[in-house]
Amino acid sequence: MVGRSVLGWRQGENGHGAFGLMLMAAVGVLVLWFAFQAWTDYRHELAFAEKDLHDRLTLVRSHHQHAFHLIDVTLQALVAEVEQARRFGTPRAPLEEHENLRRLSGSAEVIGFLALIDRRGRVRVSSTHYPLDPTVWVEDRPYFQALAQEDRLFVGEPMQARGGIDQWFLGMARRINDPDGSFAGVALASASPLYFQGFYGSGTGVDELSTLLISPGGQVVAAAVPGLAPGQSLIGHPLAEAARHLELPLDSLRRQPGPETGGLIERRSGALVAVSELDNVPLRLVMVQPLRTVIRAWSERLLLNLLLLAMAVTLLGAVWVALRRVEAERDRFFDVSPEMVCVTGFDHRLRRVNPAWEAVLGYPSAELVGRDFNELLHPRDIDPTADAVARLAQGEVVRDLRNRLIARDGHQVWLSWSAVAHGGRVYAVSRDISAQVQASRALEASEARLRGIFDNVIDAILMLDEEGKVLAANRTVEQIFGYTAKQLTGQNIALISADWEATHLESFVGHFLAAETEILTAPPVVVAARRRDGSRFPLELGLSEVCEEEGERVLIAVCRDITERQRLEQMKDEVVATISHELRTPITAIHGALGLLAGGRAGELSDKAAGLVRLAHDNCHRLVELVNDILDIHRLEAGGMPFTLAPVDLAQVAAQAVAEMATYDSQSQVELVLDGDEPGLMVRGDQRRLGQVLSNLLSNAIKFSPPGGRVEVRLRPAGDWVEVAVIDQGPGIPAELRPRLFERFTQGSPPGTGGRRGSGLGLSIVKALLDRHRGHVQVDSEPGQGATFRVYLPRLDGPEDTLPRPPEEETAP
Amino acid sequence: MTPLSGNWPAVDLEHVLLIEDDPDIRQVVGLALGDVGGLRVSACDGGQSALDTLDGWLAEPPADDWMHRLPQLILLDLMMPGMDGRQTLAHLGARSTLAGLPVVMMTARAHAPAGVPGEGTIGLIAKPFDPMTLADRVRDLWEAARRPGQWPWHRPPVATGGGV
Repeated sequence: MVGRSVLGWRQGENGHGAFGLMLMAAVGVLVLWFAFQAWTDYRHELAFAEKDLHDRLTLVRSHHQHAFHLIDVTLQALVAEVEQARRFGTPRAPLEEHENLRRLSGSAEVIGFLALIDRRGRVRVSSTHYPLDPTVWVEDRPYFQALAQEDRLFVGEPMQARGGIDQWFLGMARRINDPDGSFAGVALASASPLYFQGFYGSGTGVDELSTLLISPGGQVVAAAVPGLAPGQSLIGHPLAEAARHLELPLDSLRRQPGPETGGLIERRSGALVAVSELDNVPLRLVMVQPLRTVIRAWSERLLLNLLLLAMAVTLLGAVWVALRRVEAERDRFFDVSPEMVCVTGFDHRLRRVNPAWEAVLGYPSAELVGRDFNELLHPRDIDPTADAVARLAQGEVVRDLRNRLIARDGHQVWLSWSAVAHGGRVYAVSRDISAQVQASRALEASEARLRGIFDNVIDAILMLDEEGKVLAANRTVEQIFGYTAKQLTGQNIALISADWEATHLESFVGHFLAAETEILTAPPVVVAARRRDGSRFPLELGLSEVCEEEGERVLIAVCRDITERQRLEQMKDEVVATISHELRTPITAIHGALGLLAGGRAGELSDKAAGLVRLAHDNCHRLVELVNDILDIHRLEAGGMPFTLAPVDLAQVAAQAVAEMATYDSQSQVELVLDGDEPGLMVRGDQRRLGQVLSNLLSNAIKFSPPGGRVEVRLRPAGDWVEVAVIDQGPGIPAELRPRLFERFTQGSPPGTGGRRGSGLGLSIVKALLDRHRGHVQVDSEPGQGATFRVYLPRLDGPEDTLPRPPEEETAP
Repeated sequence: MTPLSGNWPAVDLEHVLLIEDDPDIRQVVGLALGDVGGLRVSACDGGQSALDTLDGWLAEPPADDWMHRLPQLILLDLMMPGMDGRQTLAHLGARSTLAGLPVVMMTARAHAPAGVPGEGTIGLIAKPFDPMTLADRVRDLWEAARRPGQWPWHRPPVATGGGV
């Protein structure tokens, strides 16, 4: 047990391990791939930012270059004009010069103002003011001093303008020479830092780009730095202050760019720093892009990707857990299945077996794995099983392959296999059908036995459906009907019925079926049947309902040829009739003789003698009735009383009974009245026996009637029944007698008439006869109020109405 | 000879032929019909002897008491050894001279067999009977049968005797 479960567990664990490892590897690869992606993305992002920064720097530099070039060109043009005028001695008037400067300064937006300064440092003309008052002296300004020494473009540090012209300006100057080359003055142009700053403005935004224009003296000419308070400006401030603002080391801003025009881009202290020098102008352009803005988008993307990764890993984990559970479930199913489950190869070797194998066959699982299963098979089952494996190899699915495995202790196990091949393996599930096989064998044997009985009983047995179609028949039908069972099967039972009895039979079957299901059997009836050769014979037919097959009711008809029996019965009838005659003949003589004696025909008798004779006479009469009744009840109980069933008009029967009773019992002073003699109250029955029923009831009624009383017979339809009521005016039936009124030898005491008693069998005969007619009898009685016996017989409707009506008979009173 | 058809004279029942095998019953019936009922009763112990007797009566030449020689009604027991009641009835019906005689059957069987009373009979008397009322019952059946249209049933009237 332990070994098996360990084996099973280990097998399961191996599966889990490999799968888990694969899953882990997959997750690892996913993470690595993700990291690589993120890194590459970061590199791309950085490269993009650098390129972006480079592009911006190039753009700004190009712009500045143009701006300064424009100023320089303007200055050169101005200097040329002034020098020309001095050479030809045609200086312009101050106002004209002012207008000229204004026009020139207006020609370029970058130019704040233009001024001409003489050799002593006095501003002679300005583009902004005319006349200049007070006089502005700029002999202390670096550009003046520098230009006084040599002729070049001078770009100065940003400075505060004098004379309230401008706040801050960047001065650019060119020297004016006299024709002899001596220093004649300076042409000064100012560029407004705000102009440059305005150009940077678009750069400072979400990406926190800082742009600085730095003078050769290390001062900020123009700057756009995010995070400055409104109104705060870095113009004119030392570079250190800007470095502080940018949270960068000062030297990173001071670095000298390389020879490339695009400028140097470095990553320094969490920022991209780009530096470029302007051509011809000793100014440096610095752009600072904090790295955090560069990686912001990347980190957002990274975060999203991390989230996705986490989700993917979670999903994988969930799938893994679910798969593990399913796997565990499958393994549990495999392990705990009480039926044998196995995996084999097409080489007939067992690859894997579940613990049920050990339980069923007694071999340890370890011994079974790797073994050829043919060794376990019953020799007869090896070939069919091999065929099945071959079919599996062709992709078929095998179902209900039955074979026998031999267990370790030698006993056979019947199994039903279902198998499917997949991936070169056969997966097979079995079901132990040993019990079924045994049961089915037992059933077969029992069926064979039953079939033997069925075929060999002396009665013909037919299975019928609701329409009377023969579903099956036994062998005896051939002897009885001349048809073989095969010939009869599928035919209607009418085939073996004679003449109108066919409809009789059908209606009998129909009647039987119409009855509620609690009537499972009907007493046998005698019908006329026809053999194959056309000959007729009396057939006793017993119908019973056995089962319902798919909602259809199935009837079993047991048929017996009663030709011989009827002959014997007739003989017996004759015997009985003879015996009754032989008994009655002496009784008649005695009865007659006593009657004559009592009637005084043998002379007057003494009272005592007359009493004795009357006593003997009455008892003689009773003896006759007793003989009659005993004969009847004997024949009823022995089933020997033949019933000839036919449609009977009850009115006719009643009329006849009343007439006969009037004939037999003319000595009693009881009036017999028949009420409701309408014909057509048809029932199915034996006319004579029904007459006997009424005669018995009538004779009872008469017996219990007071002299001069009245007995009424009343006929009426009552739904599906015909009711015949026999009403007397006798003393009624005592309550204690009523429960056993219809039992044998139950007798009441008739009033008067010397206590003449009957046999006590009359009512039990009535009941027995009515039972055979599917009828019943009820009694209503109040002591002193007379008694009413009501007989109910099933009314016959339909085709019988078309039968010839029996001739009318005169109704005796 | 009087044809047995048309308007019958009002004739009382006087002569009855009893065919009964049992002598005791013959005696009792004889007493019941004769002593009690005042009828003339001839008795035979079987069908054959009855036919012989009837033939004998018929063979004699007509006389004044011709009517009295022949019975007006036959009381016939159903079950008899030898020729039974039904056979006797058939024989009676087969003789044209006797076919018109009304027959009353007597039976000791519990129930009248099929066809009785029937063709050629006018009634049935069950044994045992009440000897004191037997003659009245026989007379009643006779009277009932003599009502117009009731008798002689289906058979054509047959003339008997000579002269015609």
